[in-house]
Amino acid sequence: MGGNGQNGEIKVSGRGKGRIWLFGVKEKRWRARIPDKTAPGLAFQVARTGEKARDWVKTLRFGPQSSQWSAQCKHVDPHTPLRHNHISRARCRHKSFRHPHPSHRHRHTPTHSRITRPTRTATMEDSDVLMRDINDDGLKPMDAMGAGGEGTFTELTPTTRGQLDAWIARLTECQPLSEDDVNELCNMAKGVLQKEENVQPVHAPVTICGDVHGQFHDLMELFKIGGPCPDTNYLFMGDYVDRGYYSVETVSYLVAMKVRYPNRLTILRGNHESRQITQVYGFYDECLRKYGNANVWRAFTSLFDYFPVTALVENQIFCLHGGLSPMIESIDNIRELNRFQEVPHDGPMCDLLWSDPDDRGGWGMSPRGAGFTFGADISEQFNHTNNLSLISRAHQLVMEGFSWAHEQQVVTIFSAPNYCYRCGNQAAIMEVDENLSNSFLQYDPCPRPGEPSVSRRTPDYFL
Amino acid sequence: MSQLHRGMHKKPGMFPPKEVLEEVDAGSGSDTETEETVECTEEEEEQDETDGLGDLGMPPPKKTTKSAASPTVPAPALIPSLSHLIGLEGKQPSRKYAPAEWPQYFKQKISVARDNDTFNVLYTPPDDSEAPVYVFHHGAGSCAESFALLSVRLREMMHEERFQLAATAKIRDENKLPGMIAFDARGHGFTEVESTDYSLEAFTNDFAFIVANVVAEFGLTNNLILVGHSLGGAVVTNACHLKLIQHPVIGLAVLDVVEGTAIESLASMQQILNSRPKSFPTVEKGIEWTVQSHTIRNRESACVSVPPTLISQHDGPGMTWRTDLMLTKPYWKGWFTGLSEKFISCAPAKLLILAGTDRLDKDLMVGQMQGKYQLIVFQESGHFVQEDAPDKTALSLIDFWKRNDKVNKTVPLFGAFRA
Repeated sequence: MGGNGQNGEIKVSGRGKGRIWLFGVKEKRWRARIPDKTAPGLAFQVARTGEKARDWVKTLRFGPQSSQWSAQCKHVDPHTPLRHNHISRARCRHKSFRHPHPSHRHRHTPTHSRITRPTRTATMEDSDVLMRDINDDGLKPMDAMGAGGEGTFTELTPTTRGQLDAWIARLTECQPLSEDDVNELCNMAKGVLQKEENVQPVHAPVTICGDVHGQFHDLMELFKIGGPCPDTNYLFMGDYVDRGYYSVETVSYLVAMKVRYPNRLTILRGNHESRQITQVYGFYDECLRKYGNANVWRAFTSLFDYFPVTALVENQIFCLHGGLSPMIESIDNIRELNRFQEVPHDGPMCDLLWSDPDDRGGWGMSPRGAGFTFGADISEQFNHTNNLSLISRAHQLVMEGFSWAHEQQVVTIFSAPNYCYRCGNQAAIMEVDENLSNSFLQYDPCPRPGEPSVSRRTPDYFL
Repeated sequence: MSQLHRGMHKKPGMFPPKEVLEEVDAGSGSDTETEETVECTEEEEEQDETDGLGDLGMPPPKKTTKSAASPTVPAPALIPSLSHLIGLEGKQPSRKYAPAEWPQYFKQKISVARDNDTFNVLYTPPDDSEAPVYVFHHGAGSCAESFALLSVRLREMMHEERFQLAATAKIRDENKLPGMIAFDARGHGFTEVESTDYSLEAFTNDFAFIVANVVAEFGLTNNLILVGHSLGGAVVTNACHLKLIQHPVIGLAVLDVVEGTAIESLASMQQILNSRPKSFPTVEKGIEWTVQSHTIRNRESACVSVPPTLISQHDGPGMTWRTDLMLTKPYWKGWFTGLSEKFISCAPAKLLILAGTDRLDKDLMVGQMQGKYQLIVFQESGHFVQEDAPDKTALSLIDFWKRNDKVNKTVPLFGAFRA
């Protein structure tokens, strides 16, 4: 791609300041960088079509903020991990560091522990550099993958690996597995997940995602935008099932990927990963519809009890589905919980999966009927006590796909675009690079030919 | 005898501790004996007079076999302590669709007058000032008795739970029995209002007037929880939104009404209304039709909530609908427009109980996913959730009160609760 812009380069000079390039190459993913002086990290809009990208140009050109924007739009090649090379770090509040050896980037190695990091000053010169093309870097970070080089992969026999790959291939086509395969997969996954901790340690770089809710095609879009797994490390913060029409395929895919690449993918538990909730919001019915019985639902919901409830990225970014609990002061409190159970109606484990941040300070009862709301003072204290820089959570629909709260101590990420096929929201994922600086990719739903049309049964009587 | 009681109690999922059972048995031994006979010889005895059952303060208990067709019908509520709870008794014939009356379910019936209008209000006082008072508003074409069964269940369940908590020595004397206010809206039941203005505004003003009046008359200082079904949901939400209730409102519960889906369904409403029978030879036939058409899926509730909606025909024998819903047609859209937005912006805690997840419109879907209110879905229930699933509705409303009224008892490990 290298800046040749063969699909129509658009150059715009907006009041002498902005200069926008749109590069279109074969996969037609467009990325616009929109620097925002108020937010840490950067937000990128990702579009599927050139039309959408051109709309941005119009906005930049004629919109009220055109003079303030210095935006660049860039094509995202879905098969090239672009991340970590083009991000301005100047506005990031997180402690930055750069690993001295580029070959170590994108790798999970013990050398990434915090103690060995150089100081952050090394990266300050990177601020506001123009984006560089990944290909210029000559960096092919993940090409060593899949050759058995990963330590933990040795557990998988070639037969198992082949079977998993076959399942993944099938699921990628949005074909559900057979009942027996699901049972086998769930048993394998239990073996993997039960070894994980309540606070599962995760290394950077990693891409953090929020609710998916059975929107399988949008999940595939997510992997195109964020880079394919396992080349990119992913952390999902729960809510894979319910509401969308492909809960079975979505959760099967993620679990299969988890078993196949346990160190590349972290899947946390959301409040919808529960027997009770899935019976109301669709996963149970979908299992009945697709398998004719509830065995698959039973297999998955018993597997959900094994999912870790929180994760900790480089001891800095605390990731969980809901939010804080008044019964949990330190992360060690979470380590003491017995997580292998159905999500309770109250108590600390329930709160972690149900709570929400609130503009008002202090603790409050959550209007949801479970969990609590917590104010900026609570987040501040929790982050201070646990030496954290950020709480990353999902659980709430945010129209832009991500939303900062509590003076950038809490971020909400929601990765189901046009939630429930009618909410009209964007989705986002957060890329955290090895320096723990973050950037967001926002995207719209991908068009799906043959999607079941959204028709609701009109109630009989409504007076 | 107590065996029978245990069996009966298990079905609604609330199993009272032994103390309750013993008290119950001791209190009304003769009644329960009669029930046992009735249960054994159900079909044969059906047409007989079940003497003594009236003391239970509950409708006839024979329903288990007949109600098998509709799974939502709860087990017969044979909790004799109810008569002592309510302190009233009534005679019940044993016919299957025999009409029942309000005294079995509420303690008082009062008339609230305003100019030339009189409102028919059913009232049960709360135990004390700590207990909540639930204020109900029924939907279009219904009546105050639509909440009869629910209000009894609310008191029963609070009662049972109190004994359970006392038995485990957790909390004592916590759950005082709640009060109930239900009334017939204009154009419905035994309320007489001259005006034929059926706008949302008129209903809302009536509602605020009734609440203020009843609260003043009985000197209530209790926290209120407003509960509205269907049109009533729109009314209580509007009253809350306009802050017309001067009294402390801690909760707003809306039963099975959503702006988007309500307005969508209005198109087919006229057809649905036309397909209803115009008249019935007797009240019992009316109840039978209501149950068999699955409009109300709970026979016990239909027996009390249907009779006030029927009236003798002017020109001939038989009963017809008391409320001509077609008269209200010009107002239908106005009832529901803006409901979702108002609901989400209301200050008190909010609970939405629906009879199906696919009834949410976009605003409420976004609101739910942002955690603005509590959503409970009863999938096996019909539109009249408070009648079809009174047990579950009662439990939800009790939990809703507990969660939002009592200032949280848990002491946080750090930080403090908002005042």
